[in-house]
Amino acid sequence: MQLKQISITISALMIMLAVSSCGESTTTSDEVSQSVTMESVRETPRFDDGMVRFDRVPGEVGYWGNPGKHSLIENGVQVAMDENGQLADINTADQVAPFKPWALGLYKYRQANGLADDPVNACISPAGPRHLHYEGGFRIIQDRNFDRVYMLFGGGNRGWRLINMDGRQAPDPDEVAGTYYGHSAGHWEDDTLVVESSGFNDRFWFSNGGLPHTPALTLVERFTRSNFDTLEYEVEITDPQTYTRPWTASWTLGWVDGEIKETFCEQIEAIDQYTGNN
Amino acid sequence: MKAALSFLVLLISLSGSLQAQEGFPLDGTWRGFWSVPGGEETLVVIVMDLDGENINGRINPGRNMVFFEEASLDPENWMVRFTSTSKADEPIVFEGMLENLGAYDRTITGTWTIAGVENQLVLTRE
Repeated sequence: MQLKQISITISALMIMLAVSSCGESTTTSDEVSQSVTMESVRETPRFDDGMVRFDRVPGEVGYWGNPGKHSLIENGVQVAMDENGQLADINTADQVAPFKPWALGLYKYRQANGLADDPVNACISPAGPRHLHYEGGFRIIQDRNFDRVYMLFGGGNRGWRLINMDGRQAPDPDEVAGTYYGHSAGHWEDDTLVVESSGFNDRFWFSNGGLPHTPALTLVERFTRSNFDTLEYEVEITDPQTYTRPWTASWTLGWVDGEIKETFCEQIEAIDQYTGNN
Repeated sequence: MKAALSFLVLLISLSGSLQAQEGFPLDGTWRGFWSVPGGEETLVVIVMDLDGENINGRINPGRNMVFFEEASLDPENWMVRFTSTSKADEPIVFEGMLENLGAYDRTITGTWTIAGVENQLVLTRE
């Protein structure tokens, strides 16, 4: 989006300079730049009562995608990695998050073997924050009649996640059976959707790159649609069995025109066995 | 019949991955048989979990269960060590290496020393 704005602004400046060179212009470059930039940033869409709308406005298509980061990494840390979360230099592993020793060892083990043990290879869905930097995109559907928010995921198993907005709290992890998507309770802080989640199992990777977690994991996520095309996402991770302290990661996502592509996870080896196509 | 057999193969191939456990690598129930080479094998079942700081463990849950006294995991080389005392008041020391971390049925291969006698033991996670 920022690139789009810059492109439009530069184009406008070039037009203005061309017109100015002909002696016809009475407008300054700053005025042109400002007016074009303001037009290119679309306002955050809202319901009639003013609540932010995280999904499509009637009559349009689109979804959230193009994450600014491809793995969980603590805010303020600069570490090179590819879109799968594979580190460029494994010696930087300890900077990614405040790992406990066993967790750092396991993260480095997973990195060293090229993420070969990633559960998504066996069609185990990504979950937690990973869905928000995983390929495929997602939608955020506000079901205001029943005080719920649904997140529909295009990646992984093309699953969906439920966020209760009816005042309940996220459960004590020790009191519930852990699930892949956990138990989520949300509330509003001004225009920001705040979601607290707990009750996860430990059968999935909650980030590209293989950062470990345990069933003690709790998340506080903040979703802010700062303008029509930008979703700001922040997640605070607390897992006292895995990390030495709570830590925060954040990135932005962009509004993508069109429909989420219809893709499904297939465990090719198993299917080949099933079909006899070895 | 052929379709049913194929479906069974599919289920078996999926079963391991569906039960994967990706958190603290010692969490869970482990089973193995200790013995001196060529000697009589003795079953041991061990349950381990992490409470945030310490590795807790129980040996042979049931009437003869005993608890870990000390336990450690070195993530530099994945060496596991724990100590206990049997119901017969015999000291137990186990030292082994955690292997195949990415698998649900990962193993710990090492020595089970009881009453001063070293035995071989491979623990497999169930």
